[in-house]
Amino acid sequence: MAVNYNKTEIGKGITLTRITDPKYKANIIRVRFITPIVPDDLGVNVLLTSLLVTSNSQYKSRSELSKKFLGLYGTSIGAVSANVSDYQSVGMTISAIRDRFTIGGEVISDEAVKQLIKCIFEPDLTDGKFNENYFRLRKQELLDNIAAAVNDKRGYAYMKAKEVIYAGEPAAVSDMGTAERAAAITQEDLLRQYRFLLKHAAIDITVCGGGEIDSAVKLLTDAFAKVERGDVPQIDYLKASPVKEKLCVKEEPMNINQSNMFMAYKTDYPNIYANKLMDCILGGSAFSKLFMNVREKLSLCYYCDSYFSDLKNVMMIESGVDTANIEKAQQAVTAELKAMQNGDFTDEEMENAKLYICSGFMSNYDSEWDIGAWYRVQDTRGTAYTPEECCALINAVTREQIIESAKSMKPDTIFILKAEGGSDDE
Amino acid sequence: MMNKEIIRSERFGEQYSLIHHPSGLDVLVWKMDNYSTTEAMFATKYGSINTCFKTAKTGDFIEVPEGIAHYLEHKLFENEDTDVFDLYAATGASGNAFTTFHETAYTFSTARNWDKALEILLDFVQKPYFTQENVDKEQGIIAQEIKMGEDSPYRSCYFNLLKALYKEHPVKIDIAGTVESIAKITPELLYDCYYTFYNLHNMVLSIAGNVDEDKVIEICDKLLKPAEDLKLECRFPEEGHGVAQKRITGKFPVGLPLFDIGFKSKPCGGIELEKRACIAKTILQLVAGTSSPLYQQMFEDGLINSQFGYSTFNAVDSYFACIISGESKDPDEVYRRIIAELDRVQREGFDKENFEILKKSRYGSMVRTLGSVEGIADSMTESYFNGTTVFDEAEVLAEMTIEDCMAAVSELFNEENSAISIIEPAKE
Repeated sequence: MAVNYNKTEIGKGITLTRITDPKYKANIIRVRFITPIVPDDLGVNVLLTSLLVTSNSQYKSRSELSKKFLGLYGTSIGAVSANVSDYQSVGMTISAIRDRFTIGGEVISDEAVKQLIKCIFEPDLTDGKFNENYFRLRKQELLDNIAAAVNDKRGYAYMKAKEVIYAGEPAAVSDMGTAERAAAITQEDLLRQYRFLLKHAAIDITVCGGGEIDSAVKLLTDAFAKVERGDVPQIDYLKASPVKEKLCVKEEPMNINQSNMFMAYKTDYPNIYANKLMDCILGGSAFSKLFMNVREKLSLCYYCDSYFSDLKNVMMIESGVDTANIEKAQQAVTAELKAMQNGDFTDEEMENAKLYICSGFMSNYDSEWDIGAWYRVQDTRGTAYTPEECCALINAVTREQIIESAKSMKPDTIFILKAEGGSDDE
Repeated sequence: MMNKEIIRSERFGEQYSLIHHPSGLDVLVWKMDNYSTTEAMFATKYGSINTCFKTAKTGDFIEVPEGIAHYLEHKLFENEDTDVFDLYAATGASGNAFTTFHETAYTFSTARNWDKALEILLDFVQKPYFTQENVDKEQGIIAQEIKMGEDSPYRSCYFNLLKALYKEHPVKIDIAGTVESIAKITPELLYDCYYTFYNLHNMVLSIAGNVDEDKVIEICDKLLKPAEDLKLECRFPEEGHGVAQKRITGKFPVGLPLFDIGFKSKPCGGIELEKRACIAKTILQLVAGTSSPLYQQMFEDGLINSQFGYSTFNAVDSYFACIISGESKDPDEVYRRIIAELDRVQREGFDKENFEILKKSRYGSMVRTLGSVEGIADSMTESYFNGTTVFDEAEVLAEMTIEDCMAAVSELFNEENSAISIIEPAKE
């Protein structure tokens, strides 16, 4: 199994990544602007991209632009926005079926890319301002989205937990910034940030899919060649989160039925593959110790999973638990980590975890979205390993390294979104 | 005697096999060249709505507690001597299962050892093991799951809508049941439901991706236990015209109010269901899609945001509804405008250009599905249970006219068969 992968620098701080495999039926183009997190700019960047993907100088409303893309066999366009380690990554993605799969071989890819380029370089600006009504509505939508974070209890608990786990670090802030800042965003902020991103952000363009992408690549390369670039920061995603001197425990009450608990551990153990394998045996799969023992045997939680962030060197254990069982669940989780530290896991468990992780790695080949995400993650680590190469690194991890990884995990934070009562229906 | 059909699409240049296995099970196999993953789905036409049924063995109809299909799904993962996840662990496969209103499916996805994973799947689903002790233990886990669901305002909004739309049909009941209803579940009831619905004549195996058809059949020959057709019949109450409640509200700690607006209509099956679903989706796009005048106006008036969307909700010969969802400061006004727009299009007709654009868009979406291993396994199962094939949708779409859509509006979007569910922000 292999895809064609190629990454080149096409301008100052502008990279172009090409990933192709003829089995894919569509092509995805993603343009990302990456900058160090500046809390005041988070919401501005999100609002800016939401305006850029819903209109351009030719199609001035969401409905008109939407109609254009729907006519290109449902080509999708969307804004992307995420905080990755201590950086904010915003931009836009289009996905279009390949020309060979349209009825009668109609060519749609060039037009789709041209519209994307128009969205980036020819926004609907008059005298340096976006359409005032759309600006107002999208700003309100940003405020609504910030307020709606509370609707998804697990997501909200995670957001609040991050504030405590990464206290004092850029990663502590939410992806969209605060409501206060969002409410104060002006048209001038947007124009300033639009110019700033084009000039000073690290820009990554990824074209990923079934192929026939030469024309798209040329259109994009030509468009970005015209951009005047200034100083661009060196992006280094590996920003280990410092461990707190004393375990920090925080609770927030909410009128819900089930408590959400996050237990965060931090490590300085450098082998990320050993850390990932340890995490998988402990809580990263449906046969993990946390799932089998804390959920299945003890019936303490409906979910109890762990996740390891190799960019922040943090392992988070998340559980949904009855308030009355919080202490028992904490003890049970701690006991399972202790078991890992004592080497209380079998060779079979270790080999199964390796197999499970590697099967997941290899599955990335089967979707243009997944393989694109795979290489984005590689990029954050400064590597470009194939799934097979990462499987080899996972398979090389020893029992001793797993124990060392487990022993290196220092308790840092416990955050509980604590259930107090429930909802009412009428 | 094995007999096989090739289901082919000239339009897409794709095909898959439907094998009528002598055990009584139909097996669908779609080999995808150069793919790493294998996706399998062993599914039964048994969901939360199947609470009243009879077979050649039961004699008269019997009723069972709400939530039992979902409970059964949980319990099947536990063998007499081991846990199924432990078995999958040795293959690298990721196993899972889900229960909907009308089906229960057991799945795995793997890029390694698909044949061993398939043996595990076929073996454990055919090997129930229920004891009083393990049934009691599961009640704690499922009660936790029910509570987790109760904390989701989106889920509450949706289930409340179904409660409002349906007066009698069991689709108005939560898939997981309630803490009270699952307390009535016993090992005996689980066995009764298992032997009724997990009969191979009521099931299908769909497998797609990196797979070898001969090997699939070899494993089926080895593991499938021939089943007698029990002539299963499910009974649903007559639903009738009108809704249980026009408006239903709940309160949650949410930012903006959430809403679901539903229009129920008569259920159907087979190619008729395919046609109706295709027409319903097209009407929804024409009336409320991002390229529609209504969407543009409601957005410009600050009534809706990007969370606005729509879907169809149906099961063969059981229920059919069109649902429009979103967040709004004034959900009642959204409802009023949708009703007004439906009234307008019935008088003035749809935009022809938009109709043709949407047909192209839907075609593009079908092409994408054919590139997804998981999407194909899902589509094979869904179309099989609907009595159609994966490719029928494209043919129905090609033949669908704007007149077909116009003719269907009054039946699919009858105001008297509609309801709105709203989740309002709770005061903290």
